[in-house]
Amino acid sequence: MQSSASCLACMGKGVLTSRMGARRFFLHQFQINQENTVSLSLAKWIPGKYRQIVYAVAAFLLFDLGVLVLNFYTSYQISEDAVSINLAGRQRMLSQRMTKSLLAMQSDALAGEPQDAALEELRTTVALFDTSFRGFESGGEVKGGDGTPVPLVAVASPAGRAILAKARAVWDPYLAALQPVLRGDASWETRLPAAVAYGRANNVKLLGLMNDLTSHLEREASAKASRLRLIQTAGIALALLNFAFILVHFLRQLRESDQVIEAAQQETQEILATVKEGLFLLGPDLRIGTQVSASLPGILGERARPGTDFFEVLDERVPATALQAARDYARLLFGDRVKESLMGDLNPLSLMEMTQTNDRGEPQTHFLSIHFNQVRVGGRVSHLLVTVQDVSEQVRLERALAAADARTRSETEALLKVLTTDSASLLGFLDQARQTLLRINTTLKNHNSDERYDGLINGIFRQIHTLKGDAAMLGLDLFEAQAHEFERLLIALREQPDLRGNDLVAIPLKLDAFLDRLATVRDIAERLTSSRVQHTPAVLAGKRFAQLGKRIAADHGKAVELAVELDKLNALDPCAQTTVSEIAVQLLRNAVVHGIETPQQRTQLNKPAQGNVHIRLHAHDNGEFELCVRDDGSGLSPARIRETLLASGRYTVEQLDQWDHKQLIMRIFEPGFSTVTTGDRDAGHGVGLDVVKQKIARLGARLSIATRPERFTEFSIRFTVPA
Amino acid sequence: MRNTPEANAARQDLTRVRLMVVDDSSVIRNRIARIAGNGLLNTHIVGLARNGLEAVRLCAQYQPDLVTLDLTMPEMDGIDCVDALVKLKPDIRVLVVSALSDKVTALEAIKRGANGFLFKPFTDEQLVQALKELSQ
Repeated sequence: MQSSASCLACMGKGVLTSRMGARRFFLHQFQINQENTVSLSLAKWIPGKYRQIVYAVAAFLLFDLGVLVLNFYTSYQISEDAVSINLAGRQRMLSQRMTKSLLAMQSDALAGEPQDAALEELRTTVALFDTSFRGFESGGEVKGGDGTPVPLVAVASPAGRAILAKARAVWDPYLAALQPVLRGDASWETRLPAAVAYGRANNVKLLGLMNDLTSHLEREASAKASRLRLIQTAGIALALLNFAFILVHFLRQLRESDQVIEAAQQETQEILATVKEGLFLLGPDLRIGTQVSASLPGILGERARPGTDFFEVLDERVPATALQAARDYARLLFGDRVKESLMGDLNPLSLMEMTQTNDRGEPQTHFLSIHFNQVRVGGRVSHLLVTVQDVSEQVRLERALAAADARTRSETEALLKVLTTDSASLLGFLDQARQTLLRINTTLKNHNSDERYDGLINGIFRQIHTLKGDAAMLGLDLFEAQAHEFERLLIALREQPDLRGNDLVAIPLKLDAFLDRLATVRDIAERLTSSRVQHTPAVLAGKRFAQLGKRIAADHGKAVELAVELDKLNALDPCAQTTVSEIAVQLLRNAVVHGIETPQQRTQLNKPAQGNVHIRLHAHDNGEFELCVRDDGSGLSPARIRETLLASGRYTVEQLDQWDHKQLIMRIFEPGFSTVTTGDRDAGHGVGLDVVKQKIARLGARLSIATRPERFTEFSIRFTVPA
Repeated sequence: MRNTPEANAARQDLTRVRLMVVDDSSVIRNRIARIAGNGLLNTHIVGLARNGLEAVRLCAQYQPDLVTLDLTMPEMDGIDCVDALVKLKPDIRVLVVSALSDKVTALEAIKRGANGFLFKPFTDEQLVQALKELSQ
């Protein structure tokens, strides 16, 4: 029963392997999906694969930073240039004001009016002009339009320097002429006309030079500003290019990886839509995953949907204990501790029988096989891949094969039984049966189609029934069964209401099969009777003992001459024969292993190197049988038995002291007793003589032991058998 | 450490998986011991126990890494034995070796801490494979 169950499981697996391709592929697909998802979500942590994007973004930031710095620089430069241009413009104005103040002073002097206000204005104007002039030449702080000091950068360009040099040539004499007036020397009124004259002569020239300076500075500033703008534009253009690269390149990469994922998902979908098995992933919460194969609801019913508890789906179809075991099994697979490969045989759902109603509402038995495989992500079990298969067809096939096998076996047994029937009765039966069957055949052939069929069938039935009785009488089960089959066919025909000639075709077919088997058995039986050699139990036992004795002696380095006299064994019933043989085997083992000494020991004891063991079965006149096993070995030593018992810890010294030698010797029949320290296949396990004791009890026999140290041991077992 | 053959052997023994066989049948015990000791596996036998009590005693004494365990035994059965072994040595690996009719008990043993199941009768290859799996 168990072997057929395990065969069934094997067979299920066998069929599975042919379809395993799809399952393994699915598992592979799933892992691709998992990998993609995992690697995308971890992108920012894995610079290796995404180094390009990191570089590109860094470059973008760098360009932006450059443009920003330039911006700062530009705006600083522009504010600097604005100061210079402003101040240059002011110089233009100051040159005019200076001349105007000089002229005002001259007209005031002519009119005899005080010139203090004009002088003060001239002083301020000259001071401001001169400071600013020096500022343009060599840089420094200059008073701005609102009176606060502003930094002025020296003019660096050669053209600017040239204008300044020309202006200096005009200004220095002008300033020298003005100095006495400004200082208010005693003779300043006399010096005024000279200053006014210089002013008039050079006023326009100075104005022109200051104008040139202003224009020059404006041109310079504008050139600088456009240069900076160009650089800025280039920086921004680079940054934009970089951004465009990032966009194009990485969008393409993303699209490609999306395509891989989509293709994998597409393939998974196709597999799930195509496979005959129910396939899905089971989460740690034991719920069905989001994707299930299309065939799953067909196999497990409509409740098998994503998100539902898988074991609740099975609830009504699987016994509660098996369901609990299955839950436990699945949970255990989620642990990393257990090995999936060492768990498969424990799967409670590897084969389950369930009844479902078909389209016509009839109940139908199905066999389902559910397998669980661990799916590992990053070394840990994340899901179980569940495969649900309808294996009804395989199971039916397997059962049909098992039934056919059983039938063949029972027929073989029946045939063996036929062949052990005594040959004379068997051959007699075979002849008689053949004649009966041939007679029936003739009757069938000669049957007139006008006559009714019931008479014919009844006639055949009677003959087959007699044949069946004969077979049963002789214990020929094989033929009895075949005749019985024949009878059943005839009964079926007899009960058919509208019997036709064609319906009778089955009868000659049965006749042929029956005749064939009779011929086969006859052939075998004849061959066996001509070559059968009689092996009596005594002969067989004799051979067996000789082989066993040789083997044990060889294993233990003993030399033993074995004499076996077991002729009387034939007089016992088979049951007693077995028991006596078993006792003799144990005593033979005991004698060779424990009794007979090694050839060296024997030589030292002045004994022949080869030991003797004698096994004999006597039949006494009073109807008693006696089995004797005698060896000329070391004999039983009460002292050694006492040591062994003491060492076993089962008895105390006091207990042992109370026993005499005979009582000590009888302890060798206790379970677990052994004086040999190392165990092998013959002795030393503490099992042996206690078995002998049990068997002696079964025979209802009496045991006696005779022994003399260093001389012999003889076990004698006397028993009677019922007449 | 000296480089004598004995010292080398001792060092090698330290890296080997220490195996204890627990079964009340001497046939099974000897068979597993023979297969595990045939050199194909990196195991060496540190104990042969006939029942659960003996297994627990030997476990405390010899600290095996790996145990093959029968479920139905006298004195102390397999389930109690798993409990005791895991308590004694939490990192112990236990291979339940039992008849397939003991499925429910085997599952219970695995819930209690055993790591795998091999059903009797097994072939040499099946046992070697199972021991290899659990030796890793």
